Amino acid sequence: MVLKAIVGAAASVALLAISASACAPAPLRPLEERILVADAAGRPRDLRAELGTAPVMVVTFFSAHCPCQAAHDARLVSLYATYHPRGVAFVAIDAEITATPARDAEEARRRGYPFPLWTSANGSAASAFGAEAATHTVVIDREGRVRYAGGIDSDHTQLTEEAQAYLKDALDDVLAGRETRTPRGKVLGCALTR
Amino acid sequence: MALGLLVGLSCLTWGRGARAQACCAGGSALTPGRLAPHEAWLAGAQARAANVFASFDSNGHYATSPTGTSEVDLEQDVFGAVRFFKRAQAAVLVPIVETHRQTRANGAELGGGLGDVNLSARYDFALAGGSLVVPGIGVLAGLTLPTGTPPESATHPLATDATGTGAFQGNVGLALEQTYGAWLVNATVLVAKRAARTVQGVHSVLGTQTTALVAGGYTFSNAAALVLVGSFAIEGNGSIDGEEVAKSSRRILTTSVAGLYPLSDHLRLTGSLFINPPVPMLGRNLPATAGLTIGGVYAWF
Repeated sequence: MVLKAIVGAAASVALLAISASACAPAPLRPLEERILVADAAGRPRDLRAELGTAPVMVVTFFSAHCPCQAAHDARLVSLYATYHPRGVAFVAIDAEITATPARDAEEARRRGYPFPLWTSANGSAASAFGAEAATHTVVIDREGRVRYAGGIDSDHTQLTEEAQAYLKDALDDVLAGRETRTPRGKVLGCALTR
Repeated sequence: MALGLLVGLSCLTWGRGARAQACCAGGSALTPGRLAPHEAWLAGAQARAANVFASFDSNGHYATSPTGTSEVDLEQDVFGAVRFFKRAQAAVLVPIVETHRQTRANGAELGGGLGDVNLSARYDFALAGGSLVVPGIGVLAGLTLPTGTPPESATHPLATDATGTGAFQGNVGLALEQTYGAWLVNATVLVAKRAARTVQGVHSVLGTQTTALVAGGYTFSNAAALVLVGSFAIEGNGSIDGEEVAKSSRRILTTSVAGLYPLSDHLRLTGSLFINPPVPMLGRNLPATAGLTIGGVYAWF
């Protein structure tokens, strides 16, 4: 009898979980707001204004202490090497409250980022893109539409060849003029400290 | 006899009810059955071995186990957890318990069986690291079911086949935790209340148990984690037939170091070393043990 009760409770919880995970994600919205960040020298930049400088832009949210972030550094650099020549601009944003341009400049140098790591310590950039965790990445087209939002891929910290390459797939789709096959991907990084 | 009954029940309940939901440092190092924020499900198994090397009497005096006596407590747990509504998770833990006991008078004996199944739930109002000011705030609740063999139903001479309390136990708790870069600190308080029970005409109830736990952990760049934990549990006097039984209260300090090593994004090893420090007055009416746990967890996300 006790066993039946346990099985019943577990089944109820499972149904709840399934129904929760089946909820459709919110639609992706165009990027309309002005988003001020600071570059490595501490100068203010409007992220919205940067969008017209490249056909496609990747914005990825950074955390200096996150293992998931560190695990994906090499993949980000590799993606940059592949897609930057095809017109894709990359920028990483440190949106944690402890971020400073000086620390981020040092982090970018230490990690060998060939793309800028800018600072948004007031969290406005994270709010604009709905980023709550490190490695949250968005792909924005020339019209300012967010075509993909989510993790870099489906790996957490132990990288595999079998990972679903969300960001790569989204870039391929956008560059080919297609709808992105996976507009939303799960973000596996650490919570961004706000 | 009444005091003995309370002692027996309390030894069986001590430290088991809260374990499945005690909270959270260094990812899942501290609580193997807890889902990390990005995980949806997990299943795991854990083995625990503890050697009783001493005991604390009702005055808190410490004494090593007499020559010729020994006790080793073993436990194998299987557990699972599921996330729902993003911030909530529920878990179930099924323990198998064995005890090897030896006395000079009765020789050695081994017994065991299914222990008390534990159900637990957790809701995180705020996640650690999400704010520099507001820490992670989790509310915990649990229910331990009397699925084990209670002491009065044990058939072995040394009662090594007693694997449960015979009473329902409910507990609630509050967990606060915060991250500072790769460091994580945690403070958790759990309060457990055991249901009254009547055995052979004797109506007994154990005192309310409160456990305070503090932990500090470090997460390495490969997502391995190491956590130092200190917990202090106190329990009020029990009562028999409505009368409080003096000097039946208990308390114990437990210190441990727990670790987690990820073999993949989905599979991780967990383990811990623990001891009740042999310091007079830090324990009362409980044995002092030292032991280890080792386990594995597979998680889906």
